[in-house]
Amino acid sequence: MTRQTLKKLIGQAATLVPVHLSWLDRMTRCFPRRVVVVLVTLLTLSLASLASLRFETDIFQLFPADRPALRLLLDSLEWSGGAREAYFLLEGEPALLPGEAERLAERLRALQVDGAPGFKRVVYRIYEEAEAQRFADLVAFAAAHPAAFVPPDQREALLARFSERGIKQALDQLTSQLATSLGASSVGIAVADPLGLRDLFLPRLKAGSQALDMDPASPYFMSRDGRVLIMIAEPAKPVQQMAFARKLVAGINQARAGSQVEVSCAGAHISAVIDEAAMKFNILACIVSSLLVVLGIFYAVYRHLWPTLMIPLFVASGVLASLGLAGLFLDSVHIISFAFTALIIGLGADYSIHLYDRFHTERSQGVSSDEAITRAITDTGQGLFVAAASTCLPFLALAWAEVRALSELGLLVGLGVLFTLYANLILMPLALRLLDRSERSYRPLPTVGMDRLWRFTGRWPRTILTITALSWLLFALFAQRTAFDVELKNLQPQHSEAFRAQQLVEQHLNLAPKSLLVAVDGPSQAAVLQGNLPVEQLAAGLASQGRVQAWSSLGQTMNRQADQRQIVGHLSGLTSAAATLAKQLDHQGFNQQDFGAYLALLRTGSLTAVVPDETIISRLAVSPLRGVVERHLAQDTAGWHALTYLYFRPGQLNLDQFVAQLAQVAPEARVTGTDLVSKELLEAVRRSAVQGVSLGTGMVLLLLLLHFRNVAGVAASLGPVLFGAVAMLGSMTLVGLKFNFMNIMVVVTIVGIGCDYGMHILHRCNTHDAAQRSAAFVQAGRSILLSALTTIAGFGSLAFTDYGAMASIGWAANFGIFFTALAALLPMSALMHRVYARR
Amino acid sequence: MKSLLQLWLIVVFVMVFQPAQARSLTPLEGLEALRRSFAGLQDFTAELTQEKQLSIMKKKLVMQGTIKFKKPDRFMMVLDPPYSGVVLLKDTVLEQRLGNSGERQRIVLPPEQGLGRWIDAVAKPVTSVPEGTEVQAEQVGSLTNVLIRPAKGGQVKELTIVLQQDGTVRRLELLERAGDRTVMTFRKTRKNVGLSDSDFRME
Repeated sequence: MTRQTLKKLIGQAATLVPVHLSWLDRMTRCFPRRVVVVLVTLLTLSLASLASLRFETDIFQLFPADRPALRLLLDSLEWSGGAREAYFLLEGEPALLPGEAERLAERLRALQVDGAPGFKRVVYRIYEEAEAQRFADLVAFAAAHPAAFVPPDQREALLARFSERGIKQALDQLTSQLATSLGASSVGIAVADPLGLRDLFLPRLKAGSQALDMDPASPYFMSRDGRVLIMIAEPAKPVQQMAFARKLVAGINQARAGSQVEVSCAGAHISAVIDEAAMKFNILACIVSSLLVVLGIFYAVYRHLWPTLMIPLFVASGVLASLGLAGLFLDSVHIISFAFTALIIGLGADYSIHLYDRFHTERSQGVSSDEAITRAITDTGQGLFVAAASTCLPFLALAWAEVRALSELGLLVGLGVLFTLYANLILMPLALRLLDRSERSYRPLPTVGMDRLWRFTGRWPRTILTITALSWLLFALFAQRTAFDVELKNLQPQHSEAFRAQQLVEQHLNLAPKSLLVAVDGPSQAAVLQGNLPVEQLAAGLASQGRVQAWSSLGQTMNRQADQRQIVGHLSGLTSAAATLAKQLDHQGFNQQDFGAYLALLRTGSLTAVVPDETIISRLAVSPLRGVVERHLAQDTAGWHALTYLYFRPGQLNLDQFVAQLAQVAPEARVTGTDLVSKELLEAVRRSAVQGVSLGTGMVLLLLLLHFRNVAGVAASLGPVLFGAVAMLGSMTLVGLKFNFMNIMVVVTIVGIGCDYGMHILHRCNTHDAAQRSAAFVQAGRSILLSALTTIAGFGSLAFTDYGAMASIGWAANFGIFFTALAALLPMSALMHRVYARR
Repeated sequence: MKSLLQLWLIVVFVMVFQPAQARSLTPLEGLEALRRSFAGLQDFTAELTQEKQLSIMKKKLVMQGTIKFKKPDRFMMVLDPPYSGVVLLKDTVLEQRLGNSGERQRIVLPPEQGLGRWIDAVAKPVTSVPEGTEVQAEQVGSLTNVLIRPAKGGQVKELTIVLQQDGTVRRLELLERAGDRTVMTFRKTRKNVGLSDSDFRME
């Protein structure tokens, strides 16, 4: 009963397509003006909807920001200023870098946007003269309260500094320093720290303030090899304001023009603006090149100019309608997703080819123009309808993907394919009826070798099928070694500034190849510092076991209460330090009263005082070494965040183990790192791909079932897809191409596009008797060949872009389409020969 | 602080080869004469004695050493024991090895305080005394004394240069706001001796 009902339902559903196509044919034939009015209205509405769409360039917007690791990574960019600031990396001859940095800094400081300075500050030197007094203040505080900053393992050296002999030596050294410095430039720091305790605590503070591995001897933010100098500039307004950011970037480009060294500019958001122009050029080049190739192929075969020129109109209408409809669901579209236009050109031209090929064939056989159009729409249109549905449904299935990169592309390509089909089904009859004349002659179309191919496969069907099976097995073997590239940076434009800057940092400035960031969140500074203690203990433990190369947190750059108590306990015997120092100052010719402030603090017991964390942090925060605080402690509307950084080499730290350990000691702590973000995205992409492929394949199967109403037809349609998909995976392994977060969608694409080829062959050759089968194959084969070529032109244009994400899609898809088309033309025709020979 | 050092340094260079004047100079004439004298100078070396009376010390620090200068932006001062130390200025990069610790410090001055820019500025004709700056010049026997009081707000309170008849600097006195006083006395001054960049290296 159920089976009969299902058959009945399938039967009824299958009749809907011819009915719908007949209706379309009738409408375009009988009411062309009404159709045009409706079309123009719809396209106008689409244009209005498109105008409300925002185009984004920020790569971070492509991935789900609600995932813990990515969320923390984005948060940390906000906290650290990485999201707001612009980083200039000057690379070149070490001797040239300082001078070029000075010139660039001057120009950046002078840069005006809308009549106001473009940058609030530009920094590239370690020491800024304006901060001298604040530095002296910090040194004075730290010298009076050494327990706050002197590393616990230096407590013996600290104690020795306060012995009578130590004080004498320190004052001797101070005298020398005062004598040899220019003028009285050392007086301020001498008064703040007469015993030179800064030797004990400054290295630790400086190390804690640096996120990169820089040359400690250089007065600039310079890499250890002296080849890269970093300049940090804070824009006057948020760079997320695109109008401001674009003007700023124009100014930056002017400022760095003519530099003798290479100047790269990076920053989480500003990179997007800088690379925007290159990105747009890439996409435009894709669209134009694919359009030119498609039109060239079409004209080369059909030799008629006016139908060739119609293709851009069909594609543009389809793209406009899809963007217009997408505008109802989306607030913004990423510019990478806009690259789908190139795909639509490739895919959409297929429908023009199939329809026009049928029309041309009919006309060349003497059929009237009107009848040829009707046959093309109502008969060939059936195959096209199923083909388009089988292409667009897998793409639309991706619209529910968790990863925006996939969902947006899926939605836009899915809608684009559907609307381009309708643009062809509606506009082509209108155009043909308008432009075709009954007296126009149509020469028979070239067979493009399809007749010879049909004869060839008929001669050796078994050999061809055997070779196909063996090739499939071979490809399947290689396919098992298909790898996944989790490196997000490889998705970026390979010659973009962001990519270049990232490479420079990796090559010259990274503290270690890998890093992790742990955040402890809380309502108050005290709470997060307390909550961060177990994280610091865990990090210290890992460091002592050699499982991390380095780590940093506030607790590592200043002493927490327990460490201070330990040091204070060590210094508790220093009851006469002030008196001894006063005596020695007198003895060595110093004016004691000038050191009064320091002596007074010593007399009040500052040496043995335990300083509250808040006091130490507030002192650091107003000093030139405020970077220590900014790196490790953040406050935003959500509260306070204590941050700990861990640096390690690949394989040194087991991430899963670390995450588990962290969950044990600090259950509320969050952790991020590029590996963790990649892992998160990989899981999301995997889920999306599995869902997309399952749903898409299910829908394609249903469609094919509706179309063929038997399993054999479905199997024949999917045969080339199976061969094409496996051959694609095998070829990718052979040429070293990996799957990534973007090109994984190609699997879905191949299912959708690939089954069209088999279906067309089956649809045309199965509906003719044996005598006509050869001619039907020639016509269908020619269409498939041209369709494959135009689709490859669409995807191929992506393959040559600088954008890693798009290029990988292009290459993977081209392999898939090539092998699927090959399978549809060679083994499938051989199989048909075998099947009909048996019948 | 660094602007003080820059001013101090540049005045040293400018004054070393100033020809002695037989008459009293107006401030403007004095400054222009310095510029003309400096124009013919490529480099020089001299021995020096430096006396520092710092506000935080009761005793005067006295040290001996040498200085070197080369256009456009190199300066080096080497002090002998017991206060051995080296100060090297390469345009904006100031390197110091202070005291006997041997530890080297490097800082970068803002570009506007770079030695090269000061040298450029001095090379330009003097048409007026800078606003807020007071200049006094007098002739005492064979010596010319020039006293400069820069505009208020800076670290330098007063700068006195004593020139010999042959145009070389005899003495330089620097008084800072906090009362710190540095006196440098030069001797055995040799100009245009062909110094190269390799002579300005900190060992």
